[in-house]
This record gives sequence, C-alpha cells and structure tokens, in this order.
Amino acid sequence: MIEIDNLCKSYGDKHVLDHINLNVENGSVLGLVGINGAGKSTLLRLTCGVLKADEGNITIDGEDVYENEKIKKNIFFLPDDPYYAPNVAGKDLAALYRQFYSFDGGVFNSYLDTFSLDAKKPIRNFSKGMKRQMYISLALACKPKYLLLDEAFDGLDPLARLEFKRGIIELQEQDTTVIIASHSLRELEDICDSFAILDNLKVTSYGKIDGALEKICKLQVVFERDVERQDMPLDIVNFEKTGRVIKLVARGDRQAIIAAVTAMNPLIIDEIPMDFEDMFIAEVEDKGYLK
Amino acid sequence: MQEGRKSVCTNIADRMRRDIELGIVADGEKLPSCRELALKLGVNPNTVQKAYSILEKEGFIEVIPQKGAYARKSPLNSADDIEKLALDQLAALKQAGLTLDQLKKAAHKIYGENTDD
Repeated sequence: MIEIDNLCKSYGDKHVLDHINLNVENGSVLGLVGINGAGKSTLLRLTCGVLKADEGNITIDGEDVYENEKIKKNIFFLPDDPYYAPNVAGKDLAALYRQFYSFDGGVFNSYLDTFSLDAKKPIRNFSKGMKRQMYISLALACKPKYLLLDEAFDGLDPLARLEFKRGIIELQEQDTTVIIASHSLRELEDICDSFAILDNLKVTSYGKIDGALEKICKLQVVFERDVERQDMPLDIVNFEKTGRVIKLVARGDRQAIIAAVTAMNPLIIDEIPMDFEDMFIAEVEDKGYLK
Repeated sequence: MQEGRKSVCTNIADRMRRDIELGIVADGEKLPSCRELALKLGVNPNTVQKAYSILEKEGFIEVIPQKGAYARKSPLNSADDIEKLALDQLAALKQAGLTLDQLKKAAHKIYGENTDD
C-alpha cells in the first residue's frame, strides 16, 4: 500500500501541496486529477522517491520511498515528457531497463508488434504518439509492482488507448498498483476504480469512482414560482438559473434528492445522468476556476 | 432535450440489457466473463462486475457459480409479475403527478368505456 501522510511541498515561495493525506491500496488503479498546475506531477515525483518532501512522508509497504533503492526497484515512473539521449533506440532503452527491473522481453516484443514500432530506429524520429507508445511498451514490459503514469494517454490514437488500457488491466491482475495523472477523464473513468482530485494545494475529494457517482445528482427543474439556491434543502454543488429553468448538481443519496425536490412541487423535474468528467467539472467549477 | 452522459457502468448495463431484451443475445446464451468483457472494452473488471450485478438483480442475467453468467429474457407471463410491474409504474406516475381522475380516464380508454370504477 502507498501511504501519503501529511505531505507538504513548495518550490521556493510557491506552495504546491499542503498536508496531503492519501492511501492507495494494492491492486487499485487510481486516477489523479486536477486542473493544470494543481500538483499532480509533483505528487507523482514525490511518490517515486525522486523528490524530497518538505514535511510529511510517503511510505510504500511500510518503508519511506525517498532515495530508497530497494523500494524503487518496484516502482516505474513514466513522466509526461521522458528524457532520452540523442541516438537512443527502443532496444537501448530495453537494455537499460533490464538492468533495474525484471524486464519481460516477450511482453515488450508483443507491444512493439501491436503498435508497429521498430526498436532499432532512433526514438527522436518518432512522432509524439509513437514515442509514447514505445515508452508504454517499455513500462508494461518492466511489470512493476507500482506504476506511476504522468499524462499517459496524451497523443495516443483511440486504438492505442484501448491497447494501453488492456495492458493496465493485465498488470492489475498481477496485483500491480497504478496511479495515472491525466486530463483525459473519460479514459480514466474506463480504467480506474478510484480517484483523487487535487485542488488548491489539497486533496479535495477521493474514493471509489462508482461510489462517488452514486452520491451526486444532476437535475433540471422548473418551478412555477421563483426559487433560489438557499430555498432548496440540499447540499448544492452547482446552481444555474436561466429564466425559470434551474440546473443543479447536489451531493447525497440520489433518490432522497429527487424526493426532496419533487416535494417542492416543480412543474418539471428531469434527472440528467453524470459521468466522472461531469462530476469533476461540477466539483472544481464550484471553486470558481472555470468562471 | 436530455444532455449528460451516463457512467461507464450504466452504459455497459444498458447496452447488455437492450441486447438481451431484443434477443441479440439469445435467451440462455452464455455471456462473456467479467475479465473477457473488461479486456474487450478496455475497462476495469470491477465496473463490468458491477454492471453484471445490476442485471442479475433485475433478472436479466442468471449467474451460476463455477459456470458463468447466462442471459435470461424474463418473460412476463406470470400474473404476479404483470401486477407488480403495474404497481411499480403507477407509483412512479403518481410521484410525477398523475391524479386518480387521470388514471381512471386512462383506464377507461384502454379497457373500454363500460368498465366501472
């Protein structure tokens, strides 16, 4: 299990993370989301032990990660923009990773085949998407116990995304823990079972995706009389009124919310289904970012 | 017009329910395992598991331990089933504002004018 405890990090004067607490259970696939600059990459770098926390700590299987070679053998971190030396080809990287991980050549070749990549050609000549496909092939071949991905889906075509998700499912079956930081919330909803939202230095929301979607409800309601946000006995995340049409998002048990609004005798009440992206937008919009 | 997107789980359950209702998946046909369907769609196996649970509760799927999940197009031929469905639907309509008068009018229309209250 990954345990993040009271974690704080600043870059000089700029605070990025403030008392972050988060546990990631073994075998789970966690989607780490947040607006640009929220601190996702920083959190991943801290989790793989290459950055030192200012306060608090991160332990994996009970041991502190920072500069811990023994633990790092079990972690693979794929950054947003991986560095590679000028003439390096896929096979060179495979040789490099073989030094540090239990590299599975069969898995590597299988993905090279799926993505039609040539491991002998220099990576610098690849397109953005192909580079990412190469790195994904390498990451999956390393079969790490902990896989940390920063913006993994960026640049991948839909078929490549599907293959990548399949690769994650297969890793998860071997009890690998995956944390994916991404803006592609629809992809995350497919593959993740849990999530954490980073917003304004803190984790503002986290848990199982299924559970979270059951506890939030979006309604379109029309009343004959004038009804304001404060008139409604609900934990409202979002409230929009255009003429007589109210669109609201509320937290709580969905049936109870619908019953409470129905009791107010609306002319019309319609439930609008929400997916993970809708939920994220509603939660973050409430804080004023998208206004 | 309805906007909004259904969750992944809801989408999977809806699609499968429709396939079974329409007979695209035959009554008694063996369904893919959670893992198989998860890999095919590229979604978390837990999500598929949940969709299967929903359909099992609704009666569209029968899960036989050690064997797998099978489609079940539940025919409404039992009188109890039909009556229960009628009660469920009426309760929902009442909640939405259907009055007893409106209900009586509708019943007359469907069963013929000479039905008494």
